[in-house]
Amino acid sequence: MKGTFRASMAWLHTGLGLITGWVLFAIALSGTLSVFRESISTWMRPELPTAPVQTIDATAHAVAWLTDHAPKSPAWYLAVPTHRAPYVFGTWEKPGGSYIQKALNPLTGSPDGIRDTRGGEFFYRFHFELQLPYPYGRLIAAVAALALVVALVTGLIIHRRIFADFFTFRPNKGQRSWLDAHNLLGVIAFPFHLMISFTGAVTLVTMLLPWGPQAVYKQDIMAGYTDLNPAIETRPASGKPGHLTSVLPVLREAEKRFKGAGISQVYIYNPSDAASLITVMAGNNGTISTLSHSLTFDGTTGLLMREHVETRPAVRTYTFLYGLHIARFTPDVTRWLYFLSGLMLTAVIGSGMRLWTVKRLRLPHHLGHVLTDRLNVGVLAGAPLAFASYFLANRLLPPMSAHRADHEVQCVFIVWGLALLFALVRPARRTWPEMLTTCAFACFAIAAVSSPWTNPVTQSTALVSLFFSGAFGYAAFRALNGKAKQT
Amino acid sequence: MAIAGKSSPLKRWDLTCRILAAVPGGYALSAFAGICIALWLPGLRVERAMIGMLIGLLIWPVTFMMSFAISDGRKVFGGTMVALLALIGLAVLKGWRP
Repeated sequence: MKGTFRASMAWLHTGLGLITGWVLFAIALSGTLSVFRESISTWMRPELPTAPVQTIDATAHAVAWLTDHAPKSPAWYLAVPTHRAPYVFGTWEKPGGSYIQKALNPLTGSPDGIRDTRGGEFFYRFHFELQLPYPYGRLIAAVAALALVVALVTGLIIHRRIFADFFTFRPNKGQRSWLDAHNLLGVIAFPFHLMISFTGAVTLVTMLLPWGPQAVYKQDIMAGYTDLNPAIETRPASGKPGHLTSVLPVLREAEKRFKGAGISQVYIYNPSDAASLITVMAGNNGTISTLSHSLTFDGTTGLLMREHVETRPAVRTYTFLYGLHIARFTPDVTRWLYFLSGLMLTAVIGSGMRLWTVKRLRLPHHLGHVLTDRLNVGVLAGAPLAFASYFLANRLLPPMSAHRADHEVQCVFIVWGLALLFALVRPARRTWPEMLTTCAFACFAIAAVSSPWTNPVTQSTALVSLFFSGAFGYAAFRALNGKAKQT
Repeated sequence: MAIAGKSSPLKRWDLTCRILAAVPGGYALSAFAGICIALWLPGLRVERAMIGMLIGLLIWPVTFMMSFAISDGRKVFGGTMVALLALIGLAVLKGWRP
């Protein structure tokens, strides 16, 4: 390798970007949407009552409903209502081992009458599992996150004039404009990009590098998990039937001990056994870290058995980095900044992929370049279209039909598959304006089906969709004009 | 693209060395650095394992970039192997077995 340091870093940036670009684009886009996953979940459940929710009362209603309807379940996991998600999100294990996830009405504790949907959870899971079986999706996501770290650092190294180019954008210059846009978007939010990609890898580190824990925990890897998060520690069922204590005083006691941090989750283990446990986790008001404080109560007597305040420095570093990534701590302003920076990162990746083909198609090129160009349309315009169709499917599928949550997700991948096929068989200069126009209409339709625009969730969803609709429309117009100029 | 495009046998060999050092080599370095830290540091098990994992997460991207930054591909490969063998030795010394 005779090239200079910078040339080899440029080669690495380009090669790694090409290999991981499409996966990273899908991860970045779904991650950006996940910033508002609670709000998306709420938008997707228009049947939910709109009155303000009492966190503790709503949780008690959910527990009462589960006591009647899922008493034999080994565990109930409840995410308590927040002002963004005004319902209890329950996950419980069926005795067979499979899991049920449902939104529970904050006034009655019942899932009846609320349409079955994954809501924003779909984007959140897709962001790190890519709809692939465990553990492959997570491993690909973890490696892609580290590849993004390398791509960002090498990108910074090869960027010659960071300060001067910060004020440079030369539109209507083809390749030059794409490079300017790529650089500008990359530099503006560079610290965010680097933070989010590294902390993204941190959230999956126990899967990517399990060898250290295996060396010290040997066969007892479960001890490693409970050491890391004492809140998941349970005790075996006694076999004797028991009666769950009233959860109201337990939750009030927990809220008092958390001193304003709020409650985020409640886990109830072996609810109908004499050895039941109630574990309550503190919320994120006033702390970036996840898992900072938890309490475990005896489920039959309601007495406090164990209190865990996270003080171990390395574990705190981990929960801090984890919390920084999933951003549960954020007030609304910060959340919008996460969203905007995430969009910028998505655009950096997309413009990088586009730049790769723009640069090569001007010169003598081969089939690989043409295929990349076409697949670019299928991914860069196909992914937003597929994600938009998820929102539309939520409103268009009959609200109470069977398996509708699965059908919503299938809709995403059918649309995406068709988009890829369509992009593959036709020239990219035609499919760009066509697909972008379809995206614009799809986003406009989301704004339309958000009606009646009576609460902040439907209003902001409609506004964001209208913004995207305009942006895609403008991009389609530019793609069409660019084509006219070329021919 | 000057480096990848021209593939004389010598350059192809050089590139193979770098890719081996960067991908499996970098991962193995991260894994064994994590194991060594988890075994050799004092303190709680969970803390040692966590420090090992987080440092491992830094080592892979750094090794990856260094594999392509250093001027001689064979040096890259040799250096990675030496570091890896040293870490494996340290791990075995403290009772690690495959």
